Amino acid sequence: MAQHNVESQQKLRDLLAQDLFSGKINLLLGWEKGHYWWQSRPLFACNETDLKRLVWDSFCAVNLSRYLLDELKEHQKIGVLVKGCDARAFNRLVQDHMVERDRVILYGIPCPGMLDHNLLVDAAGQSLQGISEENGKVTLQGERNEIIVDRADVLLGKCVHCLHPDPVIYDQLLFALQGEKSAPQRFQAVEEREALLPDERFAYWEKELKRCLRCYACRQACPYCSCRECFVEQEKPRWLGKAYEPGENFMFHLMRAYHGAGRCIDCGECSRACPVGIPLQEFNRKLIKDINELYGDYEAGLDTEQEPPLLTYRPDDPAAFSEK
Amino acid sequence: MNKTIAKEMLPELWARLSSCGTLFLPLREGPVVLFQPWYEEAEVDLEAVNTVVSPKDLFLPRDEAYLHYRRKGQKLEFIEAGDPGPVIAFGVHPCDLRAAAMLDRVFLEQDPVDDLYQKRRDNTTVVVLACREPDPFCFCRDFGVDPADAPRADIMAFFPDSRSYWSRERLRVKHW
Repeated sequence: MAQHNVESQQKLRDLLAQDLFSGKINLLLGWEKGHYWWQSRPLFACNETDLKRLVWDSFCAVNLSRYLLDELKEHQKIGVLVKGCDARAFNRLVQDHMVERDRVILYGIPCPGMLDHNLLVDAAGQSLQGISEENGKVTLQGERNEIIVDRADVLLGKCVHCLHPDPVIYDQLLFALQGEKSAPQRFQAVEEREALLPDERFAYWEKELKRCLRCYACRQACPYCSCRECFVEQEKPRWLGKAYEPGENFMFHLMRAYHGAGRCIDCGECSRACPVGIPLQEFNRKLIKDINELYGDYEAGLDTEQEPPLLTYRPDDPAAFSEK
Repeated sequence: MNKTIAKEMLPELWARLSSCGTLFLPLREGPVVLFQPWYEEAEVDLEAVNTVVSPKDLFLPRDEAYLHYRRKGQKLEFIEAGDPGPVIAFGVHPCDLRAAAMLDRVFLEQDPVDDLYQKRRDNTTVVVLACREPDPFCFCRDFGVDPADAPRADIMAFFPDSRSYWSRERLRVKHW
């Protein structure tokens, strides 16, 4: 359960303080409360004062592993709190040779799934003041009344079809593991798109991608987007124009998705980070689904030793394009 | 001069306005609300406190043609970008329009004036809709913006119901 009581939050801080003060790590990546009660943003803790702000609650959705790319330039050894998706993102970065395994200590936290503030407001109205949680139920505290909803109904989109809420890799486990989950509806949205006629599908994506601001928040949040220089910024050759153009928006998202084919860990940070709500995770899930069908089931980020299917060649690989 | 229009009649008004120029309204697009050109099946959301992206684009688009050129033998011929045409922005909030005043300082209150920006400002009729409720992110009053009035609006519109959080009386008592 994410809404840990004050006592266990303190236990967490004490334990991490030991490692931070003994010099075992120089920096701890965790979460702290943001401006509003329903925001938990990344915490970069170097000392005791910083560490006092550490929280672990139902709003710690931000994937922390990605921050290692920058922070390892400044700090020799870093401790990171990892949920299921942070841990798989870490494996992704190790496998891409972007992060050195021995410079990072992973503190594993099994994750109950994070909550979506928009859904909480939908249920309780704008007067929502806060929440409390117990046994899979969330109590929404309004100005005058209280509403109780099922936790499963107010989960963040990216958490709904999560298969691995437990960290798949860690050095030290902070709370008891809760076991794998199944997500039979995981590809439902993709299947709905596949069922459309090509023109309808194009119209669907044209409408969605027209909103794209090209702010690149999806790229910045993404664990597979770790190129030191992104193709959108390259001048020679210039792959993509700088101006806002619906066609170029399409190009950007398709190229980005293909770049992550077989490497996407399906953490959904792209969709969560998007300020205009484009369902970007659908692109990645489509590629995951196709790869599963063509090369056999594969899940990126589970194991750093297993080569991603598109980075290996076997003589009996299906030649899906030429066979058509 | 005050005029009142029934809510049910708004679509008809929008249909008529859209024949006078490009009509921008806060439209629900997927999970967000954005200022977009109106079309008949569009889902207009006048209740949204703010659009996700400010209507600044109406006056200062993210990309626009300033100048066209053509080569004629050894010479280049320049053609200035045409008139952007009339625009009606409906449902802009007082804070949005205040932001446009900030842009004016950069593009109009300078020498030389930005012609294309000026054309867009002059061509745009702004119908401002007074806010009824603040959302958790609102900070208009801290910046001296009256959520129920916009001095530079072409038309100032209100929902004439008692739900308004920003009633004139309340504002006067609390802040002004």
